[in-house]
Amino acid sequence: MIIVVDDDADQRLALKLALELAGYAVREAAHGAQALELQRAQPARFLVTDIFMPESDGFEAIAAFRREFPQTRIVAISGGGTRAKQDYLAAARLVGADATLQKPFDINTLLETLQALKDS
Amino acid sequence: MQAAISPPRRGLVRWAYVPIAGLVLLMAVLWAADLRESYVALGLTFVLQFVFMTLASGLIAYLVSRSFLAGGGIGLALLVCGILFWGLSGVVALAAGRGDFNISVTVHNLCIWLAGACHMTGALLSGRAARSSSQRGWWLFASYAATIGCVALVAHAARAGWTPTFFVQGEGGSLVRQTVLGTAIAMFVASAFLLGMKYRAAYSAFTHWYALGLTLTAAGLFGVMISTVHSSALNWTGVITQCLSGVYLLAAAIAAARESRAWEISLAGAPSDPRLRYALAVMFVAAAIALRMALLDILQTRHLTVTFFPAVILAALYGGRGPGLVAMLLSVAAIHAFGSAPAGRLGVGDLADWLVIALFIASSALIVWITDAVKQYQSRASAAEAANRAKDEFLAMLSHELRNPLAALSSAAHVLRLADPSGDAASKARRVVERQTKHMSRLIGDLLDVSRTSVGKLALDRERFDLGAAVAQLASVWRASGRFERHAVSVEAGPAWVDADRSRMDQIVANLLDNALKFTPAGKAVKLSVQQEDGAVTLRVADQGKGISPEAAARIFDLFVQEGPSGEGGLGIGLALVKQLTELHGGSVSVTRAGPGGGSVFTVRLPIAAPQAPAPKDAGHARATRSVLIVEDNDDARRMLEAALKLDGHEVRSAADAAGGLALAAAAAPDVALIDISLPDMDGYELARRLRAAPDGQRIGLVAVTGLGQPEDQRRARAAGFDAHLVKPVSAERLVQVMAQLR
Repeated sequence: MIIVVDDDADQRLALKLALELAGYAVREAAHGAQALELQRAQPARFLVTDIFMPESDGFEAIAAFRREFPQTRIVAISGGGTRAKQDYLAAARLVGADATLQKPFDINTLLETLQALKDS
Repeated sequence: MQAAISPPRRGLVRWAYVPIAGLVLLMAVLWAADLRESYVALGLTFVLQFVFMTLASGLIAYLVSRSFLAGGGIGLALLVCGILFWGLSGVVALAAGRGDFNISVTVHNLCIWLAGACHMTGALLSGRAARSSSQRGWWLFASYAATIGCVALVAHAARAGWTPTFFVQGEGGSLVRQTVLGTAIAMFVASAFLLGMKYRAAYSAFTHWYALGLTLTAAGLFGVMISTVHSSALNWTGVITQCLSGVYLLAAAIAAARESRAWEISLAGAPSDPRLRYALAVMFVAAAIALRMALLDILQTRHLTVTFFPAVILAALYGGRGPGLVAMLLSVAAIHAFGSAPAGRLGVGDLADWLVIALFIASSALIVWITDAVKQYQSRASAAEAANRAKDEFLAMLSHELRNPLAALSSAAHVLRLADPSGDAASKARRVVERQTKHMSRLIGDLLDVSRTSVGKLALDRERFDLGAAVAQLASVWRASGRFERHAVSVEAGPAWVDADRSRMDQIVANLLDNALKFTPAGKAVKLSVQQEDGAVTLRVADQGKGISPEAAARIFDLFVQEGPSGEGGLGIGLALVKQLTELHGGSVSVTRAGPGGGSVFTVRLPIAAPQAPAPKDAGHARATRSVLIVEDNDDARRMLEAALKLDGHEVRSAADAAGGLALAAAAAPDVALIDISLPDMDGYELARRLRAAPDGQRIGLVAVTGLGQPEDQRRARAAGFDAHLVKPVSAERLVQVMAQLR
């Protein structure tokens, strides 16, 4: 079970379709707070979250999941920052993401990452 | 002034009371000792008063004036008058008295009384809400003029002997004088008390220091009042106490600069209101004249220009070139008056004076020029720095904006590769691809257009058309595509004819709509209207977002500027493009607040054009089945075009190279040929020329399909004989549109 968080509906949909093809059950959330609600209703094993979102952003979501659901493995994805010279993916790792991916990424890379997290 | 930001700095403020207590104690002791020795030093008194009272009050008056211009109430204008009276009282009294203590004391006391009255009414009225007035500059000017006029009148009255006796050396003040000074002291204490009440309500370092300054002034005046001998130790203590209050006022000015942005006090930043800049130039020259008059006994007719250079430098520094030159001209007039021309006669003094004036003009002009150049260099450097920062942010944002659709495309491609092509997942993925490619090509199109318009390379393909109809059509397409789903979008489009580039108008409307939809919360309304009014065509897009502050409204059409928290998406080029395109059409764009509840209204005004009778439409012909030839070497692109044209009901043949295309054309004589410009064996232009040159070549419709979208490319395509030009990626709608437009 995976929760996919992205403010852009198409991003979410494309990721969901690809992950479903690989055999995962996927639920979507438009922002961090919604993801947390979904997780509380029914815990997922993985959280795949974008970092820049207008409402509660990825960092908040990652931190909240780390606190409340330490068992959940978190993958942060981002297409870069709004500010130059800042490494947001590294920051996401510091906040508690288990792995990070820079957009655009090959779905196979994401699948391998998820597999590796599952095995560890 | 009300802004309460920094907490009181306990230590400094506690010590600030000590001098007041100490000086009052000292004055009491001196009064009891009754030392009657007089230490006359007019020069020293003058310098002390000029530096600590006149200059300090000038600075404060400048700051309060800016605050008044920024929207302060009438209380602030009165405060300005009070400060000026206070600052001028000492130096004007000395200059008018020239050693006659009675005249000096009269002028000083009357000015101080006026200062106290202005302070108290100002403090009383300071709670009043400011009325909005566009005449603030004139009110301020009137305040300055009235104050300076009053001071001059007082000085003249005292010198002409119109005033009763105020002071006799050795005997002290008359009853009149004690009454005037007594009420002045009471008014200063009352003002200090009123301000003190205010800072108790909301702490502000400015009011705190200012109230202390007023208290010190009152204490100093008290010392002056009880002394019977001018320039005695007690009298000196009173004068020094008043000067010290100037230091407190300076502290108040610095505190104001620190604590409130409304004051906008950056000494390096010149005021933007030209009236204020010129008024400052006049004030600097007036100060220079006052200083020169005070030094008249020492300098006489020597060193005529010495006090005027600083005035010109300051005027140029704060006001720029114009005020600098005005200060120079006024100074020349004053220098001439101070020169050696016989009293009462205008005209030439001696040659030396003229030489001095000529040199003064030359060096002042040089000073103004250099100061202006330095200022311009500084502002250009800071503008360049800001532009650079905006560009950095833009590049970071651009990478984000381009990577996002790529991520969706890459995921969708993965799905399309693995999923059942006829299944639900595949069809969803295909729609993701369609939407994201459209999104990306619009993004790239906007980017290119912005760079083209900013170097003036964008050519308009003007035609007369009804903008109302065009907007209604665009809105219906958006509605059909579901883009209005989250909002209540209303469209009100009457006939409005413009002479404009159709696709650029679409771009303007699309960007404004996009912006409105992005910043309006779901469920709220977005209103789109087009109409003719006041001889212009007006397009309005009203949203119910949180609205734009006036400061932001000034910058919102700048390139790369974004409102709201970063990360909300968008490159900050949409509105810049709207502005550039509108101006290219000879129109204008503005944004206003919709109302107190927020929301913005973007208004585009365009020159009106005469309506054109609709061309007779041959509807049957437009939909006719045609024989179409596609020459395209990229397999994917070719198949896409084939599929789209077949869906539109055409008969399609295709070739992967020019040779194949020529062979098919010869065999089948197509009605229309779609030709890729970059073919392996021959370029598309050459192929077009050959097809045109063929026996039946004049009736064939030629369409160039290319990734090159620059105006030069379009020109080149037309020169080669193409009828239309399609830029990749080609959308099915655009393809159908072009097919319908061909003869």
